[in-house]
Amino acid sequence: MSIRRAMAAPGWILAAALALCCLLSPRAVRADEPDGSDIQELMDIRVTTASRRAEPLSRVAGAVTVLTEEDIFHSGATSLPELLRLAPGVQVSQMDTGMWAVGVRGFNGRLNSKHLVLIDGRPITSPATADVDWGKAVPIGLVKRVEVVRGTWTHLWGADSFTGVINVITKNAEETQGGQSVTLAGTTGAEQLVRYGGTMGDSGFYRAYVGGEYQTGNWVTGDGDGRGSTDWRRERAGVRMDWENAYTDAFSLQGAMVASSIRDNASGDHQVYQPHTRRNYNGYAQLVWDRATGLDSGLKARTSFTRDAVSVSDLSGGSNALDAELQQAVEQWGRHRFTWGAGSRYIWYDIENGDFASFEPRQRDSFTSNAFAQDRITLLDDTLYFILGTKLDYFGRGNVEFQPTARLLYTLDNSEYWLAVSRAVRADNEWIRSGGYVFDHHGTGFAVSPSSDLTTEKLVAYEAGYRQRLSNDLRWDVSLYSNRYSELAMLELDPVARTATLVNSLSGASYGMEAQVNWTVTPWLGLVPSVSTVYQDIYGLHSPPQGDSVPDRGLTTEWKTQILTKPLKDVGLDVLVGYLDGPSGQDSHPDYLLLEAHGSWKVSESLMLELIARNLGGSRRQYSTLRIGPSVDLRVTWNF
Amino acid sequence: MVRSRVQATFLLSFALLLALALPSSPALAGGPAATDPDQLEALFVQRLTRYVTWPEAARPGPDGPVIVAATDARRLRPYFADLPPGRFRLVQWPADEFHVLIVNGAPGREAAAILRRAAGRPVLTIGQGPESLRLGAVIAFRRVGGHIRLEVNPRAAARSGLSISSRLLSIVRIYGGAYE
Repeated sequence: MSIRRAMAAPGWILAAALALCCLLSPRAVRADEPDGSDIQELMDIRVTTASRRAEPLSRVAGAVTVLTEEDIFHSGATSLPELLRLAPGVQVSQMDTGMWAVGVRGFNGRLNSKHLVLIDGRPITSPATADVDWGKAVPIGLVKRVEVVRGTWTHLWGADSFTGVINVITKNAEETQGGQSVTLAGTTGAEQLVRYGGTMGDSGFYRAYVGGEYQTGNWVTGDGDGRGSTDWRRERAGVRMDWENAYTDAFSLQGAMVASSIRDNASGDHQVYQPHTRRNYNGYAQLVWDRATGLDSGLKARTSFTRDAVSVSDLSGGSNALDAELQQAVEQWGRHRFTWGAGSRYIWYDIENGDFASFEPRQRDSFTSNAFAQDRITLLDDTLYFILGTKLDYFGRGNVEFQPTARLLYTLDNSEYWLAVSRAVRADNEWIRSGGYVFDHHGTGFAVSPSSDLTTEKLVAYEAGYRQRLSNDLRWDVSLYSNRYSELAMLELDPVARTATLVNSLSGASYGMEAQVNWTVTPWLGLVPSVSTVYQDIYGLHSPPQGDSVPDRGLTTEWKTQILTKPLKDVGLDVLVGYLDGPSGQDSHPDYLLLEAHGSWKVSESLMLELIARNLGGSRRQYSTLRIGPSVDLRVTWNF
Repeated sequence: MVRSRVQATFLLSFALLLALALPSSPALAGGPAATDPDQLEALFVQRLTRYVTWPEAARPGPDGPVIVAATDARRLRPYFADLPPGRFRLVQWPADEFHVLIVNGAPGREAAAILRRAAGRPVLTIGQGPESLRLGAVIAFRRVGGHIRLEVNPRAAARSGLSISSRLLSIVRIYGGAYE
């Protein structure tokens, strides 16, 4: 049979026809092309941070980025700050081994951040320094999602949430059943975490984990004699139990402990002390009771105790925080939907002075309390909402502070517009107010004197935003803001007496924009470009801003693109490329290129290999005098 | 030779037509499984009311509408919009007055709270999954493949003062377990 005849045979034609059918059939299309479910799933994600009750992302009158479990995986992040790089408007810079400067809409110094960081509703921002010790945060593998709510949300979350809220929500015990071992090893060091989850009766679940980590710190280098902190060791253990009872109630009890030590070579920040070894001990316990009372409504009570202790040389001390809060999400009542809550927090400190170092006063405490209320008024059914809310904060002294907001949300089928105006206040923390410490200014130590007439920092924020889903595979959002600051606190120096006093003498404004696109180009290629820019003009009434973490002055722009690829069924390659363009003429915040890569291979249902490469753009200064160099790590995740 | 060319042309044309027809053919695209589940639920609700008798004081009027409250009315609205006027009225939960309550799209604990609040009232409560019967729903929708199957809790119906037609009871699964 000739080739010509063979080609003309009905058998070949039938095969071609079948192939054509298969290619064009809906099943084939469904198997290879995204059906938009990923976008829909994202829109169905119920965000809790933006109204203190669960609601879809499309009903939030504010700038929100939700980092899902999938985002966490694709980021290859081994710590929370690395993950936060994905959120536009969040500036993340590594300063030293285990030390990060994270800012939301500006104020990205380590000690001047003005946003709130929560883990499962529990604040982890230090009550003493407004700093976040990211090293004590939850292991990244236990994070279910991170809600980054930018803008002023003090009407719900209080004075700490001046420029935004980062709410880390962890997986519950039911979602972490079975065993898992995560091993990480590479140029940064080594890490091992083992967790196991099981059931308790018909409606209870538990999980427990234990882990250890060692980071050399040798990829952090300095110019000249400067050297980053080294030999960072951490041991951690934690447990969580979840019950559902009487169908409507859920209880959650969790706790964890982290012990760490690091050789601080005193080069990463403006410091006046000698190299030393610092030891930290952190622990917490939290109980949450959540009762559903109806559709999208319920009562929730949360209480926690957190202990943070640090030991440097022969000086040791710590803070203890006991907090409790109750909130109610009331069911829709006519055109109104109310949410209200109240809480209080008691913090006490203790210091053990040594022979070589001391701190006065050795003991102090503070009690704060607050209440909030918010009403979402439906002006047009399913279309137009007006949100009014306020929080009352009592800082243990002075007047009760009033922090209102008014927001408007207009929703169409595939898009939303929103507007907001808010007033916020922020209190200095007890330690900064009380002085008793020394800070370095151009090589000279200034003793900080106590301040008695400090008032709260003030902010009036104007915000607007737009979100649109252009198709099942493409969506984008943009937000704009203008923040007017007054009476911000700063240190005023007396060069003769070498003393410094905290005064409310900073004012100014910041303007900014954040935009992000999520585009699933093909089933094997996704692109997430984003840009955020902030122009910050903070000035002193009597003298230029000075101190440990002076706010940047000028224009800062961050360009980032996340490229998500899946060249093979079980193989992924993700790249994050970005450029941070800091304010010109400011040495503290140099420009740098960000280049990170994450490769993954799902060997089997129970085994995943990941190669994580960071800082491939070279050894760069990010927000300190130290250079953060490249690193490559292998992560092996085994489910058993 | 000519015959085989005609045959080839015919078969290719047939294949192309078949291929083009496939995406729009609901039967081949999944048959009943591809039917919108919300549409199916709306149809079931509308038909179920024929097999239920409410107590005198709570019965829908002869000309008045059967008021259906849904926890996610938005999803069902398109399937109630084209009905003859006056037969059904769909409202969003929470509502004060209704004859049927369908708990759709509510998380488990919220559904439990809603069913608990409606328990004992002369209302035909419809939940999702057999678990809702345990929580006091009179009827539960069970998704089996692409189909909806019904399960009825006669004790919950009796507690609500509803009478369920024996014809309906003969074709559905009867729930015999305890309920809250």
